[in-house]
Amino acid sequence: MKSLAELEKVQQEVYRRINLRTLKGSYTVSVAMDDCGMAAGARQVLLTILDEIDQQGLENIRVVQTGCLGDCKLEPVVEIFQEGHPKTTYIQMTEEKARQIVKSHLVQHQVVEASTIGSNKK
Amino acid sequence: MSLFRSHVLICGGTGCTSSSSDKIEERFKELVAEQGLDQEVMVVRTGCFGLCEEGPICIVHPEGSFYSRVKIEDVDTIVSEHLMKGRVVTSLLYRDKLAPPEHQLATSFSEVTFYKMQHRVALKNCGVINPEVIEEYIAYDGYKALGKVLTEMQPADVLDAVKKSGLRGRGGGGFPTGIKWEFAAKTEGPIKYIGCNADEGDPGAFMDRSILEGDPHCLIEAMAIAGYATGAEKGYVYIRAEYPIAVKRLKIAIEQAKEHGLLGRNIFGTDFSFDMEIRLGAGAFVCGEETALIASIEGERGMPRPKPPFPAHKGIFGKPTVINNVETFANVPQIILKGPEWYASMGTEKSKGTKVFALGGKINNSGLIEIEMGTKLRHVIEDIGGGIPKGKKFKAVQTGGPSGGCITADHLDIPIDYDNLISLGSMMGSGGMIVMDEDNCMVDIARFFLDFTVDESCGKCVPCREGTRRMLEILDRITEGKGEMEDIDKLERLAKNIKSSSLCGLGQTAPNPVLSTLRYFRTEYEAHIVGKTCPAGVCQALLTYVITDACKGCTLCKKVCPVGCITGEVKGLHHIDPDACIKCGACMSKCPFNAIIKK
Ligand SMILES: Cc1cc2nc3c(=O)[nH]c(=O)nc-3n(C[C@H](O)[C@H](O)[C@H](O)COP(=O)(O)O)c2cc1C
Ligand code: SF4
Ligand code: SF4
Ligand code: SF4
Ligand code: FES
Ligand code: FES
Repeated sequence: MKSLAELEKVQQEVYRRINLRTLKGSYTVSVAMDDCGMAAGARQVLLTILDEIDQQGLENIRVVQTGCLGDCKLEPVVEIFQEGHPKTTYIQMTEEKARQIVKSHLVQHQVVEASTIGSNKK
Repeated sequence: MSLFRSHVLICGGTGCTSSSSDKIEERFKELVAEQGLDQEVMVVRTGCFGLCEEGPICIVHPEGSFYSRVKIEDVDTIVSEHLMKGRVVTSLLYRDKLAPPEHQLATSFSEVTFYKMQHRVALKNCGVINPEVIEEYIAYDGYKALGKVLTEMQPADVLDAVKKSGLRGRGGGGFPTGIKWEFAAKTEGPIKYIGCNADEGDPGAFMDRSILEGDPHCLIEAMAIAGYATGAEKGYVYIRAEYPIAVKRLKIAIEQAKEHGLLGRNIFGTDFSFDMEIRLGAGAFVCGEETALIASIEGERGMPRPKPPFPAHKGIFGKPTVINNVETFANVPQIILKGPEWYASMGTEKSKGTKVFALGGKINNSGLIEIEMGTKLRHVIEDIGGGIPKGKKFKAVQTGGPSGGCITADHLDIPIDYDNLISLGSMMGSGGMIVMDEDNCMVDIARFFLDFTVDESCGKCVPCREGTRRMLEILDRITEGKGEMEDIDKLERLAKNIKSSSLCGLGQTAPNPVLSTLRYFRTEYEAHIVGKTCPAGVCQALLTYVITDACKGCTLCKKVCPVGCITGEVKGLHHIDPDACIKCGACMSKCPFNAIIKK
């Protein structure tokens, strides 16, 4: 370690990889991973979200998994929580939609209305 | 490399390792690989989480699900349910009995009462990082304080910061750390040393071990900072050989620090150099006393030397030396990073920051806790510790281990700090806190601690060697029902002499447990001496076996009594002749109706 800058570089890189142990999370993204969610591709959706978060260099986002949400035909389901805001439920996620949600909802704080459960029930 | 979606943290502290957490780690790794999850799920071995009794402990992040008492077969379930399907395995979660009923399942680690009420500074990385991976320490601000000190601060600035923080020694005496460093800094000399006291002799304490096991780099960083501040280039860590995991992790950490240029020559490209060495101790209590520790590091017998000279003037190999405790050091990096004002904003007027306590004895949640100085003892025992098991009544709490004293229910509302504990006749010590309930006999407790010090006295000076032995003999007599009233005076006289004329702190504090129990529980001593009874029902020789009205007259006890001292007819109330009874207990264990009690 020759300088503080060098140390800080290591810090930033590793911290992003392990900070999920202590993050409070400005956003919590929850992916339903139960049987039918998995069958519909939830695992790939979750990994895609993580990858996009990584690419966007976002910090302080928790990506958790959860079990069955009760309506199989809506899977894969992704919910986004933010303190002081109502939760947003996205349904029938694909890898493409997942990336879009990260860019729009998490980066620009814009809900992707077209993919939410509300607009699909209409 | 992409991000891992889950981290499985498995406690690798001494407690959990002894309940096979290493096998659990292996099993997790095996299954995660089998399921093809090894690029998604990271399995990490950490240090102690502090709730060792609930071990082996396993935490799955980011959910924070807190699995306790995990068995090897449970690993399959956690992997197939939680990691594969996102279903938290509620049946394996820790139950937080202190939370309201609807929140008792520990789905989120940080919400568990035991942790929520703590303020972790010295323990901040324990149970968070893998202590064997230097990068993880760096990720959580590790070595940043050292970098800052070396590149942005003068040694005098460091001394100033530590002084301003109000940090005092956590090894027992509570001496202001900044002032100690300044003494050593001001002593002229080309060679100086930093010593770390990791002897941890108090039988009830294990915070130093946990820091070494869970966050060893923190100690290295702090010792290097102390070296820079005082002009020392070499550090010794004196650690007991009975702490094999701690020794191993510290060795690994020192190697890694060297590889990364964080120990050795020209650290951070400056002209500061610092190196470290481990010295193993055999685990004698007296070797924790700093002059004995110095002698032991030098290869001599671990016996105390007279002070002065103080280590700051003549320490290891006669050179100016700073000796600090592990926990003291563990506070230093954060004082540098967050500032002395931040540290001094916690605690009381004269005791700043936080302190780690090892809570044990008759308490529901035993374990390692870190709280702000000035926290009320009642809060620690009732809210964090969850009170006394089995609905028993709190009697006293022993702080300061064999050198300390007891604190009674009347004083539970005092804020914990160095000076308050001393004014109550106890002391902070290293942070052992043993809770006693109505079933503990205070004479017996005093005897227990004195027995420990008699064993551990190095024998160099007469008052300690002989005096403590005399006191122990008197206590033995009292607990056997052969005490006399003048024994109390004798104990007090001996105690006074030993305290004033012993060479080192061991002798000077050895009488404290006796003095403090005499101060608060004199009537209990008198009951042993005059009434020949042990009110708590502990001292075997003073108990009498009595048959109560619950007796159905089955005659079983009469048949087993080896001395035939039980009388009674079939279906009639039986009776024990107390003078003939030899207190063997045979009748009591035989009675089907629990009609025989000890009083
Ligand atoms: C009998 C005896 C045992 C001691 N054992 C320890 C010990 O195990 N660990 C420790 O840090 N200090 C122990 N001390 C206190 C040390 O002498 C010394 O004061 C301390 O290590 C200084 O560090 P600090 O200022 O950071 O507390 C002991 C003192 C006495 C008299
Ligand atoms: S007081 Fe006790 S332990 Fe200390 S030097 Fe004297 S005999 Fe040894
Ligand atoms: S304690 Fe032993 S000696 Fe005493 S009454 Fe019971 S059986 Fe007999
Ligand atoms: S064994 Fe119990 S119930 Fe039976 S005679 Fe003895 S005291 Fe009474
Ligand atoms: S298993 Fe599909 S919604 Fe529950
Ligand atoms: S050793 Fe595992 S919690 Fe302490």
